[in-house]
Amino acid sequence: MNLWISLIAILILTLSALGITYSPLSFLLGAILPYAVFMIFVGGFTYRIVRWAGAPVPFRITTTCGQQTSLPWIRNNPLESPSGMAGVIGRMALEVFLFRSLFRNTDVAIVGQRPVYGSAKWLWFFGLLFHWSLLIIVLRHLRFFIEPIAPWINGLSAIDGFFEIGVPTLYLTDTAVLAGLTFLFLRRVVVPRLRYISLVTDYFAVLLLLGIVTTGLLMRHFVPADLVQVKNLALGWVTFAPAVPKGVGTVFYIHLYFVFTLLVWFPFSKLMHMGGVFLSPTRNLANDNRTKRHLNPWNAPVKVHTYEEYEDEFREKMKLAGLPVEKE
Amino acid sequence: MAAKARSHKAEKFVERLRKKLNRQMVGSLAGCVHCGMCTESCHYVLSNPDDPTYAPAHKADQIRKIFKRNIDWTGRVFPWWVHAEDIRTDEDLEKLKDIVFGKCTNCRRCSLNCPMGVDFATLNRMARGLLVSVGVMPEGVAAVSKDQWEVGNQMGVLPQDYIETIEWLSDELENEFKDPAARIPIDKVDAEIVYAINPREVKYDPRTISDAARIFYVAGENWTMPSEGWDMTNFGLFSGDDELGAAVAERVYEKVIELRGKKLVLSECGHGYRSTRCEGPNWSGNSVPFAIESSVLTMLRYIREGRIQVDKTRNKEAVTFHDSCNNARSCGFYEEPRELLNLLVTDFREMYPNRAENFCCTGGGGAMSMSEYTPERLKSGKIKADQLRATGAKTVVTSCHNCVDGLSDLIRHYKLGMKVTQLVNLTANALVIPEKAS
Repeated sequence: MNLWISLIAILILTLSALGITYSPLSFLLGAILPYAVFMIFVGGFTYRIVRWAGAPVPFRITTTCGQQTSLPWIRNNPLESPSGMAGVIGRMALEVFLFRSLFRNTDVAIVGQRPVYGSAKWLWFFGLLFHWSLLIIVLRHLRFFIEPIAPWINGLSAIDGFFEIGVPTLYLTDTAVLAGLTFLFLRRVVVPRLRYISLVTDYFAVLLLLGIVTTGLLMRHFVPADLVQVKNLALGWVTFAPAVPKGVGTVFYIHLYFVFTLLVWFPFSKLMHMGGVFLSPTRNLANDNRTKRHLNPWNAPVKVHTYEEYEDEFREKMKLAGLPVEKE
Repeated sequence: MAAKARSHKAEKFVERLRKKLNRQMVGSLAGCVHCGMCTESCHYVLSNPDDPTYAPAHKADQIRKIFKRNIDWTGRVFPWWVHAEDIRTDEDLEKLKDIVFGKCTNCRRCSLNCPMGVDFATLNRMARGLLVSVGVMPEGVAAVSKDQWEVGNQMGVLPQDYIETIEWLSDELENEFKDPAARIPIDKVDAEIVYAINPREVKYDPRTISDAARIFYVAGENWTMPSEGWDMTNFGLFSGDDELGAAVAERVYEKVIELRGKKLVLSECGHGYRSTRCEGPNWSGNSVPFAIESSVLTMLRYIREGRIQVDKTRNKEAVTFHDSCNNARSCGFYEEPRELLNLLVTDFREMYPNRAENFCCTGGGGAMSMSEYTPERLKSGKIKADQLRATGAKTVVTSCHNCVDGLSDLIRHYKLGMKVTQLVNLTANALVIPEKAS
């Protein structure tokens, strides 16, 4: 059911992209929307991160997968249970660049009465494949926005197309991203336990990305888009002189529309894990509960009016009223 | 569509939820990508493979949907898109109660594999706290909380019973060592060590106290047990009630300060170690001017410093070690018990998986007080029972009183024929009593 809802959503998006292409609204898509989208993306992203970063961090309840700093002769594990900043940075770096937690995952099957433990690295592998490929693809796309093209972008593209399969060269990351996404999608559909926890937005994210990748590949290998026009369009955005090109092709518009949808939706969806991963307190805090004192930020200083002060303030009046006072 | 009016309790629940949103909570509420890695790490799922409602991500979503509907704007504007759902009636609260109290032991195993670092156990604890604050909780939880609030310890041990137990343990000790000094000092001022225990020890298992006393005596330690504030367990950690957490922790700290103790030593209790050492100072909001350590560390120090001698050939049977979740995953207490164990026994076998990846004993630092969930709890222990059986050992050692009960329950239910013991018992058993040079 959730899958169908998101499929329908994708379909509606495609149709509306088509509608826009063949109507005067294409001016909107080419000239006005890019700025709106960019602002929503940057603004929304910043808003979310600022909100999260502003939330108080009271406790140090880190997850400690390794030995804490203890007696001097017991070896501690600085990465799994960091007691200082260096360890935390190491743990975060491994997490962000190599998805260490996913790598840790094990598979358990009960054979007879014995639990048998195997490795389950598929999600780690395809997840890593997908994320890195996407990053490289995004970086490669910078060539549309920069003139002259920076040498490192050309270098990146050259390495990516190293094997020179086909004309135009098939980029490795394109295949990788497709493989990664397909795995992520199939996994969600096929594994019953996973299907159970999947929400509309989970399918939607994967399907939208698949849509973007598919249209991108179509343009490169099957229905070539006019790259000069595309580049002019992109440069037009950057130089604040957007000009709507003629005849770039329907596929390009669908691609563009999908990307815009992704960017607008991004700050308000689970895709914000891109920024959120850095803010996870179970990972980015050191396990130093007792070596340092951590205060609850909301333990605001309480204004106390003690009895002594009270009596000092009202002593004369109390005496007049015949109330007993402690000090004369 | 105007939101239907909530019941008073539900209203309070949502109101207080807004105040609980610290970074840990926000991260856990917003960070989940539904990758499903937590599913495979939960002992409830592994023991009930056909029931997907046990998946941590699903359980968390039951809390998340309330957050989304009320606080997250996408959920308020497009509830159908992000599966946001409000909590309205008292029945909704009851349903949530069965999830947060009955379907999770807060063992935190799922956080390890989470690529986003979502801390479901802490989120679950927060939800428990909110429910407790509106009086929705299993009867057992209410009873234990009441005891800890009013009597001062979670098992309702009365002060005179506590003192009497310590007295007769002292008498026995005196007889054993034929030394009038071999007593358990109560409320001794300026002691090096103030020893706080789990009330379970006084009530059901006093030999753990006398074993500890034996070790302290032989080590020649200047120690004492407090007459009040001796319960270092903290039901606030289990029920999510930070107020209770603060009150209980404060009671322990105040007594140590009053006695001018140099160091607070906690007997082997994972729950108490975490709540008193790691989180108590935060709940109470006061600083703690003395060191706190686990008795495991104390015993290990004594042996290493030569203050006591142990003879490991007295513990010859095969033993395996169970890591308590609060000690291990939440405090990083892994190698200390193993170092000690290797000095105490001849045949130590690791269970698999161990350390951070160890499975929960199903005790969950208080889960056994909720008898209505016992059948599900015992069923969820199947993976643990299989894990225990596979070691081939007949004794399982653990450093947590709650795990002792949890494991004993599982061993009985799954007919494993094992016994559970603690490091203090093994140490006392291996302890070489020096000849008195008189």
